[in-house]
Amino acid sequence: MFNVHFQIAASHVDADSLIHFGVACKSKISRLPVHYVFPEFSFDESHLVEASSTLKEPTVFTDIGYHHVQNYIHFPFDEDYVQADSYGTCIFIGSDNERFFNLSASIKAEKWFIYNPNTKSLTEKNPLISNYIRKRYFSIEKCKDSKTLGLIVGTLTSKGYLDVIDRIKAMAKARNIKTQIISVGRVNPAKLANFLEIDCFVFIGCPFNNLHNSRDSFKPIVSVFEAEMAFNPAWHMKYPETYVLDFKDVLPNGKQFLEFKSEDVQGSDVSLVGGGIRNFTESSNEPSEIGNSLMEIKNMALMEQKNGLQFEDRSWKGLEQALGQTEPVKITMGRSGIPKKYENEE
Amino acid sequence: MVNFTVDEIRGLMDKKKNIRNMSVIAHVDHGKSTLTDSLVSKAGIIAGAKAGETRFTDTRKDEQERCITIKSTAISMYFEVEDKDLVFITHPDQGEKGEKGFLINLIDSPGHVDFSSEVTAALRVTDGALVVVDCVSGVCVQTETVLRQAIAERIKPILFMNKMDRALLELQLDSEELYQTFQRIVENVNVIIATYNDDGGPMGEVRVDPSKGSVGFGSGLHGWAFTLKQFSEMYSEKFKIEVVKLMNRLWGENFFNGKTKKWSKQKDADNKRSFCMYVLDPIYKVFDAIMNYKKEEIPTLLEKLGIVLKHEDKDKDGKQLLKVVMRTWLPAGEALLQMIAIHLPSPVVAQKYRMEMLYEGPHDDEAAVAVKNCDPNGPLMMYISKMVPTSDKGRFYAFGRVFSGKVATGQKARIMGPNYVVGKKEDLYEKAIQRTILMMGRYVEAIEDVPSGNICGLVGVDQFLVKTGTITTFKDAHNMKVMKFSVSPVVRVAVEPKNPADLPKLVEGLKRLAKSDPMVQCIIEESGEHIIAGAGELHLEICLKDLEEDHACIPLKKSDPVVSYRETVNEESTMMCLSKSPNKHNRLFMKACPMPDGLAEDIDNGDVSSKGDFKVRARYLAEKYDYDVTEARKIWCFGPDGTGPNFIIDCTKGVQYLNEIKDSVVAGFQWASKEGVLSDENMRGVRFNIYDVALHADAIHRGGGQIIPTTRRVLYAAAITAGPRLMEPVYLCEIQCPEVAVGGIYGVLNRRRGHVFEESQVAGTPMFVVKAYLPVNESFGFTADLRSNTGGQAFPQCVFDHWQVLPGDPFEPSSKPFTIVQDTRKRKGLKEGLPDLQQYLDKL
Repeated sequence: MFNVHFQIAASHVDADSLIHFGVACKSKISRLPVHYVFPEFSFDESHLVEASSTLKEPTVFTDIGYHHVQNYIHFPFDEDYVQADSYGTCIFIGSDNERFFNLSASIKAEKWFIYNPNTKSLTEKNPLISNYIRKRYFSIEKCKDSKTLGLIVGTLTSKGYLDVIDRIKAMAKARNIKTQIISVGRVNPAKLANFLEIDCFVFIGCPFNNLHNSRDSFKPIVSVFEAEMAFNPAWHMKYPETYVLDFKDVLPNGKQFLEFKSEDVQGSDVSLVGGGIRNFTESSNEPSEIGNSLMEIKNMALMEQKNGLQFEDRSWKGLEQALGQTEPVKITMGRSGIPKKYENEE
Repeated sequence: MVNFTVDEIRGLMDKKKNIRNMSVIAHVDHGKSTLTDSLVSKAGIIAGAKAGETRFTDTRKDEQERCITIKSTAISMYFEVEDKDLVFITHPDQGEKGEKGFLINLIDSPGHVDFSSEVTAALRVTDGALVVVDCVSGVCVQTETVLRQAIAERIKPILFMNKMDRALLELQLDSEELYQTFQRIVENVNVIIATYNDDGGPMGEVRVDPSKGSVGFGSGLHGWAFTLKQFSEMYSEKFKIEVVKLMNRLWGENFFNGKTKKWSKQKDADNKRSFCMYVLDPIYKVFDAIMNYKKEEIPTLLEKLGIVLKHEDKDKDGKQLLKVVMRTWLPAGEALLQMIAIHLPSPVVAQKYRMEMLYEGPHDDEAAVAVKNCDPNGPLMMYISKMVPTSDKGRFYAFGRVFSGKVATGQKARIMGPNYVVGKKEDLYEKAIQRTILMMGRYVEAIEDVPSGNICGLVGVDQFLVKTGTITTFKDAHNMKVMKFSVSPVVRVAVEPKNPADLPKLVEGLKRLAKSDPMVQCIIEESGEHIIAGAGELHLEICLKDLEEDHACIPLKKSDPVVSYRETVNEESTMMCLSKSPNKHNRLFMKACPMPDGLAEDIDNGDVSSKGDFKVRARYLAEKYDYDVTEARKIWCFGPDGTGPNFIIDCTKGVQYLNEIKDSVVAGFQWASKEGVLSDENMRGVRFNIYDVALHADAIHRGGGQIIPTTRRVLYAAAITAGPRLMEPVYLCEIQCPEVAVGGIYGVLNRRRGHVFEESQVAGTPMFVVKAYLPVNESFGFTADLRSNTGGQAFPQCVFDHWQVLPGDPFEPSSKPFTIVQDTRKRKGLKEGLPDLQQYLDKL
């Protein structure tokens, strides 16, 4: 997330490499070499050892800022967590935040504990029934309802983003959903709300962002994996044991890759959001006869433009000239100044 | 029981004037299903070995066990009217010339209020209704509700007084008292009919009248029934008076003096009311002789009445003998089927006046004309009123009525859901009908095609419709009007699988449940909770049971029932609210104020709606609610969902670019009215006024991204400053009980914040009826509580009535609304505490 902007910024100055200070995610970088410098928070390691003494061979993960604990603690320490398939007991050092969810939901483990260094407490959490994941289910359901999908390209550096875009486009097409690719630089609700006709956004990029559960966005934003769950029929009756954060895992050879077969897409479904039917086949446009006879073009009028936008539903279609209907008026002084306080305001 | 092949039935279907589509409607436990049984045993067609068995139309196991109808069920019957009776059918469209056979499609519907959406679905596909009233308990709340619905759908009613055996055996009423009881019920029913129907209207006079033969009397349980026509026929020879004339004399203020053989309009010492003398007295005599074991009188009496008993019945006595005698003398099937054939309209007659109520499109287009004429050769117009589960899990038969044209197996048709709008593609599917089928109680039978005026099921349509829809072959056809239910889904439970991995099965099950019930709502909330919303506790109980056992087939965790609240305001905003857009270049100025009483209900009922001419709407608002006409013309939209009971009005004067941001403001308003500021519940009864708008001159800086979030913020600020309140749903509760139990009812109601507004005795009975308003939130466990406090003597019927403001300020931490807001926020996973005005309000 943060990465993208620095990458772009760096390319403005023709940099050869980057040194990154502060909180960051570690998305795979394709263009520039980066050196990260993380903050280091103080940490009472003896208390953790004491508190976790009853646990059997825990694996430890840390939030940003506690990375240095590996220097002091002799747990079987796993820095790059993607290596193992499943774990026994896991401890997360940090607080119950989204980073914990992202981590715990994406790793298969028997038990999860959170050790909060500030309060010095160790608590057990089950990530798969957490409130966070339930809320995501609502967004997935909304995503299934959408007629037009916006694909926000949040990375231009991560490997495989083009493959993911192609994959989502193919899945959307099978369900007769139009897609639009959007790249708006840094994403915020105001920018996205400008796309009035888009029903749901898929964010392609690093999962470490705070977009997903923001209540300020007008339309839901889902991650690539969530879009996969919504659209890939292979996920239809499946419940994920782990949550995938890195979008490359849904691509072939990825951890949660399930083959997409467009012919498996069911014809229709009931929406649990609106209560209506959602249909994925564009039946009304089917040719009325299938045969070898020449196709008949019924009218030669302009083709309907299908860019996914439904401007016809908007009430305002453009400037109304209303020629001859308005009285001519004298020129008056307009507004000037800056919005903080215009000049003609008291 | 007549047996027909499918081909023979298909032949009957073509004689559309000889078809009667009817539903049986009544208050719970007034004996619909039992009465229907006596009809089925007389005339049911395609009989399996099981037909005639009790409660034939209760097809589900739990229906049989509980002895309560849950789903409405259709059966077809065949009945031949004798030549002498054919003269009673005078209207040329009520029967094909010389054709004696009638095809009667009957739908038995549930009586419990919680299932009244099933009644609505049944009424839509029928033209006539047999209203059953228990003559002991009289006209009850549900009788009134269903009758009102029937009249509103232009369904012609006939009346049947059931449970006469109880009146005679248990209450021991004398004949004059019984006449008075009947008279009162007829009057009550006619009062309801007159309230909702205009005699000069297209349906004409629909009052029920015993002397015309449109009121039946009898006992469904014992299997006997009569109308005045039966008795009139017995006596017409003797009196040398025509049957029709005699029927008039046998009801009302007609007295006969046995000595002078004179009729009189007044009661005096020597004469007796004709109804009592000629109708009730013979029945009383039979009852008296048999029940009091006057063995020597019985044979003469039977001979007099012309009843010949079968050999095996001669040894019976008491109640058994009584049943046999009455059944032989006055067979229920015969009397009822005659009533149905003579007094209920054929599709040809009914569709003439029903078309304008059924069809949304112009009343002179091809589809409308075909429906009006019930034309089997016109374009197909069919309304699907409900889905019936098949033996194949997850699949449904689409059940409905063909109003015009023919629906056939393999036919390609347009399937239009409730959101379809002519010219658009939403909710429209063009598909082939896989199969057409006949539905008879528990059995289905494939049929090639079904012509107009008939009721049938379709296979393969269920994928494209959730609950209801229109099926047509006419390209420009509009939808048939969606049904309006008398109940609302106000009680909700959250469900989750016991094993989290079963979640996909739960979701699949919820989708099936949503289809199988005409009214239940299955939704996932923003918090991720899976919610089932139904009309009442019993409805939810049945839905949950179905979900667990049939649809999802997994063990479930269920939350306690909760109600959904509404957010409203109680005064005008105390200040002008201003919010700035994220880029600070745009400003919106708004205020909120409550709608006048009754307006929100008018919007619910569609009297004020987003559809229709804005001038007409403005005039209505100005006349009824004193709105300023120019303002009322500038309602931008209703919300939530474009139709809800809130609106936003443009009160600005000469603002530049205002039209340009209208779409964005509307989008923000829909958002804010759906998720209110207090606890994310829908808003209700709030009017928002836009007073001023300052916009950036450059279009790119006043796009949706800037305006939508700003609108939401300013609407929230306006709501917070206008004295926000919560509204809760309230049931109208009718409780029937003996006098001794009334005290107990008051106790229970008081504890539950209910208040009684009417208490009356059912005339002629020792029963009392108490009517009260009861908050839905307090109604959980009410039935059980009431029973235990009244020794099981009181039975409540609760139906959603209105929304009521919860007293108390939600911003006051000690108030009840505050607690509710906090609970709701917690359940939805929102930040606890109260919304902060400063978050939404900006300064200049």
